[in-house]
Amino acid sequence: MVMSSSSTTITEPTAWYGPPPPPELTDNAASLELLSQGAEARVWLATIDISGAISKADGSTKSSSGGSKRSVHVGSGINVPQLSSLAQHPSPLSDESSSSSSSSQSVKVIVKERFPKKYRHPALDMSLTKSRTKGEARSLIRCKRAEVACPKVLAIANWSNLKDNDGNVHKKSETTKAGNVCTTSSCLFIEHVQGCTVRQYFEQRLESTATQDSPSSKRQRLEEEGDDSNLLEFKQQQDRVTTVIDSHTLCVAYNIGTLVGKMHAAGVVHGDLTTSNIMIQNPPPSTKDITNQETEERSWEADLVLIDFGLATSTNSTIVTTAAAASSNDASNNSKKPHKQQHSAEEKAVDLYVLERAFLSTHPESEPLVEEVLKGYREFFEGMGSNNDGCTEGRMGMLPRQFSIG
Amino acid sequence: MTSLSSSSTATDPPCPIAPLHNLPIPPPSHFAHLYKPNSSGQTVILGIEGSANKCGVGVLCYNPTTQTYQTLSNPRKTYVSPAGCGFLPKETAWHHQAHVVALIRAALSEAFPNETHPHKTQLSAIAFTLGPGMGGPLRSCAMAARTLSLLWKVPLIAVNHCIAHIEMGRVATSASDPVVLYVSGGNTQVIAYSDGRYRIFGETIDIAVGNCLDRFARVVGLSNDPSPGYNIELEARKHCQERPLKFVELPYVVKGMDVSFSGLLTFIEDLTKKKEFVKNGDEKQGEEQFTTADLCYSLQETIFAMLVEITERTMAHCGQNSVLIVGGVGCNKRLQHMMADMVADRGGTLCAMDHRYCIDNGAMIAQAGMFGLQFGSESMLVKMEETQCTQRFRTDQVEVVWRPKTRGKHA
Repeated sequence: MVMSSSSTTITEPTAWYGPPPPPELTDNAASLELLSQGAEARVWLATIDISGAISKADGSTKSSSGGSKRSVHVGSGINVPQLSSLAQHPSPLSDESSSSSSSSQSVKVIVKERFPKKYRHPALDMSLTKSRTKGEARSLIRCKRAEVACPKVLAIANWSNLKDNDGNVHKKSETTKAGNVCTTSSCLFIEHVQGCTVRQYFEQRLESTATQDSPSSKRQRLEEEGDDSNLLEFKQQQDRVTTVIDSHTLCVAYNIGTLVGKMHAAGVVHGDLTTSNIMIQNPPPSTKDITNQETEERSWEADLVLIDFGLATSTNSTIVTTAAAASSNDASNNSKKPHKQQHSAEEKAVDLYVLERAFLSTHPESEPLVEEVLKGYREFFEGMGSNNDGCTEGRMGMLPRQFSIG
Repeated sequence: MTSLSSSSTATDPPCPIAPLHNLPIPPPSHFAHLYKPNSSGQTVILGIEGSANKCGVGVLCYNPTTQTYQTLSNPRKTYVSPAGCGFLPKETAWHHQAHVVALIRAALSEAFPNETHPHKTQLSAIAFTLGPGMGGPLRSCAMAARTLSLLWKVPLIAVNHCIAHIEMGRVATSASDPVVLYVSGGNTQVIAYSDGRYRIFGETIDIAVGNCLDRFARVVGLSNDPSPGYNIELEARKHCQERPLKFVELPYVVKGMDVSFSGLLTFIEDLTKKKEFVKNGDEKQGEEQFTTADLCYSLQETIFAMLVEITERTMAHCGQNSVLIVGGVGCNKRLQHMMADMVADRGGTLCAMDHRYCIDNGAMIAQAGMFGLQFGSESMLVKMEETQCTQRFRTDQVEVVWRPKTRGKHA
């Protein structure tokens, strides 16, 4: 679910699967490049020509007329306009990015298209697609307000995949015959984040340091001893992948903890925290020359951005506002509070648990990094002077890590 | 004792080892201190399974000249509990104790019909389930394995039940490296191989999917024969083009790659107490009413969509495009169908369903034990004092020594 990658590591998929992208999307974008196709959504990098879009605006509104031309309410009082209106009146959230690149008259945006899934019941598919797109936008906006590093939301739209050119009429009739199939894609337009993922960063560290440790001496000793079984085992050991743990990776892990803490304090639970969903905006130069790299990296600190809020949920109370609510003596709010807090503590704990699992399953032997993430998380809340509802403890105590019955 | 049907319990053709892309099998002489092949060079293992309500014994043979694994026999007995009641550990253990000896006799005589003492001349080892599972039933079968090991002087191999499902699935379908969805009454895991272990990418954070189905079947009073999940499937199959069943929206809980069913179960149990709920479809009068069949249909659609979704996430995460469904719930046609739809959309392949790895049996225990024996797995070749069963035994605790290390392939 990588939303954006550095130019060197893009593995360009040859073709997408699923239904064709909505015609409104292909009509409005000057170019459309598939960045990745995750399980749930297709992520496009669209170049939108602003000057062209304004002149073309009449045509595009015509093509999208038919009920879908309406803006969608996200969050409290924020109106996210559709793409066609974005071209004419940039959204209050997007003015900064469009003004910075106004010289080229085109904006690069990420379009996250949740396309219909054939296997799901249409009613279930529709409600999941819509609620997830809306929830993602809501969480992103909430994070942005709390100054948690994440991409900006530009627009949101629900478009049908079936309004296609005549070439696909045959395909269309097939799907309708097969039953009541959901045909609406939800598109979320968000800011394009440059850089590499934390996962790519850890893997690059691994490659650049792989040459350092040479275990040839141990191997020689084993060969001299003539111990066959030990040698076999050693050969297997040698193939084991271990994650590099040094001051830089530990620092990145610590900052991840702080960032996740900040997000949780804002009342947002990510739901899919993995090392692929955290990006580094300023990746270190990946030179193979280690001595050079060390001097350059000494002062380097990762500029982390959280991406892919596809499974995010916004809990009702932020930690800052619970204090505010308590002081305002809102009786109805206070009566609900214990339950609400318990609820959000569990969700945050699950968030940390998911992150821990993602670390351990993708980066073997990265336990010290996980500890560092939790340390960063804990110290963030200590610094805020508020307790973290026992989330870090909850992660261990509440969830059955060793529990499995056949 | 038990009367077992005389018909064959193992009719599948031999499975070649080449498509598995395992490491080359070390010659038996390399592990001469551990096991000996029989006089014709074949390695034969007896597998005993009894972690849940099925007691099974299988005989598996490795033929080095054709380089194939073949199941020679695979008899099984299932304990069926009365309707409205699950299978309890104590009674299940009694069931296994009563049947295991007869099953072993039947398995050996079917595998070697012309030999009077096959255990003396043929067997190289005995594999048994160490866990995970229910304590009583596990111990009953482990006791049988220990006793035979001492009587016949053959080594014991302790097998993880989940690994056995996966390995039998790989061998039977010739799938070298699939994403595995393991769904049964006690387990819900999405597994992919990475760096010497079967890693659990997603799993249930509370109850297993089969447990959820079984308990719902009990609430609406469906029979346990042949299995509660199958009766739910039959109810849900009443859905058709002419008379579509109503889809009742249920909680859909996917957290990352994990799923949760307990809240969903409580929700649907509460629905059956509402006045809109009518048990039988014929009593249905208004649109707002819903029947047992409607709920079975909605339950299946929702929980299977959750399972397919986490499987798809794992496929995307690991960059793999073949899927294998193992475990009892894997027999469900609707789950198979949904998974096939998803996999076809991704241009991948879904391995065909097969009784050898979907339903618990002895041959799959023998298959995993075979790998452990042939590659000299130290953790699986246990001494007598290490054969104590464990109810909690995670899939990723087992070091998979028979597969090549993938250097960060999925990492």
